[in-house]
Amino acid sequence: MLDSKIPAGPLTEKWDKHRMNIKLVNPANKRKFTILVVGTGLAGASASASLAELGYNVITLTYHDTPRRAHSIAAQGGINAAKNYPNDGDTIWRLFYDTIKGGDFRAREANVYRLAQVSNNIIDQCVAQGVPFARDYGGLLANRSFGGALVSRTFYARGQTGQQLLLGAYSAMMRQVALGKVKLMTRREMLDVVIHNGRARGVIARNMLNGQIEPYTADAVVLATGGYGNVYFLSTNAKACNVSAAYRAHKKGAFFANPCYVQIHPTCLPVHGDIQSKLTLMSESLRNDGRVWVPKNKGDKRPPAEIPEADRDYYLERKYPSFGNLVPRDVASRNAKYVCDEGRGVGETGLAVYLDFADAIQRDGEETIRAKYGNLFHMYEKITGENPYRVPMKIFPAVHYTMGGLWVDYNLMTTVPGLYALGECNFSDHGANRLGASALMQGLADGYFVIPYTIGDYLATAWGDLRKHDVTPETAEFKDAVKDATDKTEKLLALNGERTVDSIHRELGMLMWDKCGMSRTKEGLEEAAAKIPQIREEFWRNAKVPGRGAELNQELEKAGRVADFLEFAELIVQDALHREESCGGHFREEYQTPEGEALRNDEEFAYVAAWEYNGVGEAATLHKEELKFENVELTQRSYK
Amino acid sequence: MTLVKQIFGTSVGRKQVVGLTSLVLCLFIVGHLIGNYYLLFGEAAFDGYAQKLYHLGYLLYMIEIGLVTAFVLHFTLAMSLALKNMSARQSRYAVAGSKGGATWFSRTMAITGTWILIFLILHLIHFKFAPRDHHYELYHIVDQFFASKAYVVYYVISVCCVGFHVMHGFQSAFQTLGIYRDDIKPGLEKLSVAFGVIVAVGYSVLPIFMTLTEAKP
Amino acid sequence: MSSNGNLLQLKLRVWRQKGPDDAGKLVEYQLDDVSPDMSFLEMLDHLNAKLILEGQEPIAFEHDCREGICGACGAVVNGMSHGQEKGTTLCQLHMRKFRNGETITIEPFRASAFPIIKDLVVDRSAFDQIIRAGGYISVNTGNAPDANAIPIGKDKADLAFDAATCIGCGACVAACPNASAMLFLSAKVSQFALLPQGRPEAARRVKSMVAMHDELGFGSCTNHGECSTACPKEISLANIARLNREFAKSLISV
Repeated sequence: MLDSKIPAGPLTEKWDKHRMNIKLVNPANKRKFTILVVGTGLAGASASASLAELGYNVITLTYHDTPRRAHSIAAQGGINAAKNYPNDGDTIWRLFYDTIKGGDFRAREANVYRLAQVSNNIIDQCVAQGVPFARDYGGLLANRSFGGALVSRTFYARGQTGQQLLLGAYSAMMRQVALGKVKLMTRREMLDVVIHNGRARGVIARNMLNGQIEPYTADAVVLATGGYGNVYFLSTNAKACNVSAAYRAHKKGAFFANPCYVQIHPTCLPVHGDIQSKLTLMSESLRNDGRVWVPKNKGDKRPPAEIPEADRDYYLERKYPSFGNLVPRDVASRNAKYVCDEGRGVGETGLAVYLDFADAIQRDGEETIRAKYGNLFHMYEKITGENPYRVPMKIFPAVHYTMGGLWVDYNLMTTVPGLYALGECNFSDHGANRLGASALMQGLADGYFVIPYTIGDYLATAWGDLRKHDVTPETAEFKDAVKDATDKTEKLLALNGERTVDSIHRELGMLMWDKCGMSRTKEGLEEAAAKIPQIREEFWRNAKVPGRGAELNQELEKAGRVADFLEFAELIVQDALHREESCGGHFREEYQTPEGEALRNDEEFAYVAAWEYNGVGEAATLHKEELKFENVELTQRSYK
Repeated sequence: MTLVKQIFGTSVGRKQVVGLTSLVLCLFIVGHLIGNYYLLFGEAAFDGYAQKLYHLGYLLYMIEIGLVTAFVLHFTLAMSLALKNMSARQSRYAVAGSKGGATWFSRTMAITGTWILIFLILHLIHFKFAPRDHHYELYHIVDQFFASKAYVVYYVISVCCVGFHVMHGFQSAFQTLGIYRDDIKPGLEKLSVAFGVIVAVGYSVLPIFMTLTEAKP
Repeated sequence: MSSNGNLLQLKLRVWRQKGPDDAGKLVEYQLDDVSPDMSFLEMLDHLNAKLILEGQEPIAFEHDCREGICGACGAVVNGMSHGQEKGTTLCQLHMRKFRNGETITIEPFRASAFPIIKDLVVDRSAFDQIIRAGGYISVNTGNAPDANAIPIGKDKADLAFDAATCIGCGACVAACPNASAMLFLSAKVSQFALLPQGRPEAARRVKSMVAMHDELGFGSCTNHGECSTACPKEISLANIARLNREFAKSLISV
C-alpha cells in the first residue's frame, strides 16, 4: 500500500499544519542546492521562478526554442478560484466539493482541498504580475461560469487565459534568469532521469541543435512535462507534447497512476480529412452561451437554419435540466457520441453536433458575444471557412487532457525520492475527470504555492546524505545514462524502413481512439492490448528515420517520442482493462446505469492505481492507494 | 546610462531627435515657402523682404545656427539609423511582398533625404552665398537662376523630393514622439500627405510661374 | 473532406539550408494532391512524408500548437510573413486560400538577429533576451495584495490585454524593412505601462529593454507599419507610440 503522506487533522487545517511542521532550509544554505526543473509550462515556469526567488539555484530545461511556447499557452477558457467576487455563494469548500465531485470521487481529498485553498492566492499573484484579466467597467475583475459548477468563479483573459498566465509565469522566470538564479537551457529534450544512491540526482538531455547528449546534475528533479494525450495522435495537444520524460522516469522506478483517465473534450472542431495533423479545441466557455443540438430525426440533412425548433433535440438541456449545456466534459462528450452513434450527427462525416449561438446573439446582441468569444469565433471561421455568427458551429469531442500521470504523494514527490512531478504530469488533483478551468489552477498551485514549501522539507532532511553522496557528470550512473541515451538515439537513426514515423503513430492513435477512447469494452481493450506490440514491432522493423544525430533532426525527435508512446499505450490499456467500473473519463460500456450514465464501483475501485514498471511488453505491477473520503459523501454524480 | 548616451546611444533616442528636428525643419519649410511668395509682387517687394530678414541681425544668426544644428542632427542621426537598419538584414528575400504599411515614400526616406542634403548645399551656394553687391539683392539672383530651364527642372525635382520626404516624415514624427491615437491616425496621415503636396506644389509653382512670365516678351 | 476533383497542384520553392553556415538556396518541389482543407503546415507535412520515403531530408520547420497561439510556426510565404492572410499564423492558413497551379515561395524569417538554424528554422532567442532585460513586474511569489485591491479601468485593461496578446512569433521582425523588433518590444512595454502594477518600474524597464533591443542587432523603427499588418494578433502601432512616449518620459524621470 502506498503512503500518500497526507497530514493528519481536519481537512481544512491539513495544509497549514503541514507547512508548520515541515522542515525549512536555512536561507543561506538554499544557494547550496541545485534544483532541476524540466518543462516551462505553467507548472515548470512558476516553480522555476518561485524556487529561484527563495534562493535555490535552478536549472530549467525546455525542448522549445523559448519557454513561452509551452502548451499551457493554448488554454483558452479560464482559471478557477474561490474568490466569490460575484457574491453567488462560492467558498473554498464549494470549489473543493465541485472538483472532487467533478472528478467522480477518484481524487485525493487533501490535495483537492489544498488546491481550492491556494486558488485565491494564484489570482492575486497573477494580477500583481500584470496578467490582464477581464474586468468590469468599475475596474474590478470579471468572472464567468464553466462546466460542472453552478457559480461564476472562472477568471479569464478573453479566450487566451492560458497564454496570459503562462506569459506571467514566464516573465517571472525570465526575471530570475536576469538575476542569474535560473539557468535556462532551451532546445534540450530530457531523455532520462539519473538516480544515485536511491535519489533522483539529475537528468540526461539531448541538445536538439547539435545532438550532444548532456548530463545535468542536481539535488532534486522536478518534472513539469505535461500530459500524454498525443498517444492518440489526433488530440488538441500541441504536436510536440509527449510522455517521454514522465515515461522514462516511470522506467526508472516512478509509479504511474491512473493512466486510463483521459479527458475527451466535448467542444473541438470535427475531424475533416486523413492528412489532419491535430484537432483544435474551442473553449468550453462557449457552452455558457451556445446551445448544443442535433436534429430529432436520423439522417436529417437539411441545413441547420431550415430545421424548425420542433425538429431539434437540445439533448443536454433535455436530459440534464439543471446543468443543461454546462454538464461536465465527460458527460457532454459521451452524449455527443451517443447522438452520433444514433445516426443523428451532422456535417459531412456525421460526426459532429451543433453548438448554436443564435439565441444568445438575439438576447445579448452580436457585440456582446463578440466581446466574449471574438477570438474563438475568428479562429473557427479561419479553420472551417464558416461564420459562426450566422451558422451554428459544428463540434465533436477530442482527446484533450490526461488526468493520469506520475504518482505523487501530498508533497508532489514521486515514488523516487527527490523526483517531483507537477501539473498535468502528475495524477493528483482531478480524479477521473477534470473540470474546466482547473488545469491552469493546478499547474500554478503546484508551481507557485506547493513545491516551494515541500521541496524544502526534502532538501533539509536529505541534506547530509546528498552531500555525502555528491554527484558529478563522471558519476557512474550519469555515464551509463549518457551511454544508454546515445545507444538509443543510434538505434533510432538506424531505422531505414518504408514507413514514416507519423504513419505508425497515426495507426497507434486510431487504435487507441477506437478501443480506449470515449467508451471502452473488455473485448476492445483486449484487442488493443494484442495489437499494440505488433505496431511497436512494425515501428522497430519498418520505420524510417532520416538525417543525422549531430544536428537539428525533427524526425529523430519524433521517433524517440513515438517509441515511448508505443510502450506506454500498453500501460493505458492495462489500466483501463483492470478498472472494471466506469468513472469520469473512463467509461466501460459493461458498467453503466440503465440511463447510460457511468456506474462507479466504490466498493472495489475507490483507489488510485499506481503501476510499477517491469520491462517492455511486461505487465506492470499494480500498487493501490486507498482513497478515503472523510469529508464528502460518495454519490452517484447527477447533473439532472 | 547618462542622458546623452540614452538619447544618442539608443535607436529610440536617436529617432526622437530626428523626429523633433524634423518638426523644426517643417516650420522652416513653411516659413521659407511663405517668404518665397514675395517674388510674385516683384523685385522691390522681394528684396524688401530679404532686407527685413537681414536686419534681424543676431537673431537671424541664431535662427541660422539653430537650423543648421537641427539639419545636421537630423541628417546624421537618420543616416546612422539607416545604416544600422541595413545591417539588420543581411540576406534579402527572394520574393518581395507586403501586407500593407510601408509606402514608396517611407521606403525612400534615405534616398530623398540624401538628395535634399545635396540640394540644400547647392541651394545655399546658388542663393545665399552667391556673389552680389548688396546682401539683399536676391530677386535678381533668383531671376537669373531660373532663366535656365535645366535649373528649373532640377529645382522642381528637388522640391518634390522634399514633398515626398515630408509625406512620410511629418506623420512619422508624431508617432516617434509618442503622439498617436487610433482615431486621429487617418486624419494625421491625410494631413501629412496634404503637407507634402503643398510643399512640392507650393515651391514648384514659383519657378514655373517665373519661367512662363519671362517667356513673354 | 474534399473530393479528388478539388485537389490543388502546386509548385513550391522552398528555402533549403543545411545548417547555420551553409549558403542555402531555393529548391523546387511539385505537389499534385493538395487538399484545400489542409492547413499550410499539413501541406508541408505531406511534402515531408514524400521526401522521407524518397530518401531525402524533410524540410525543417517549427510548429507546435497549430492553433495560432504558441508562436512557434512562421515563414515568409510569397514575401509575406505567415502568408497573405491578415491576422493569421502560418498554421492557421489553409490551402483553400491558394489557386490551383500557383507557385508558392517559402523562405525563413530573415533578420541578422534571427540567424537561420536549418531550412525554415531560425533562432529567435533574441526575444527572450529582450524580455529578460525588463519584460516583467518584479513581484515575488506570495507578495501580492488582493486581486481587486487596485481597480483598473476596463478601457485600460482591454488595451493592456490587446498588447499582451503578442505570441512572440517574430513575424513583425521578418516583415519590417529594417528588421526591427519594435512592435514586439513595445507590446510588452505597453502592457505594463498601462497597468498600475507596472508603473513603478516603467522608466527602468523601457530604457533597459530598448538598450537590449539595439544591442541584439535589430534595426530601428522608422514607422513603416509593415509589422502591424503582418502581426497575426494585429497588434497596433499605437503600442510603438506608447513605447516612444514611455521612452521620452524616462528621459526626464528621476
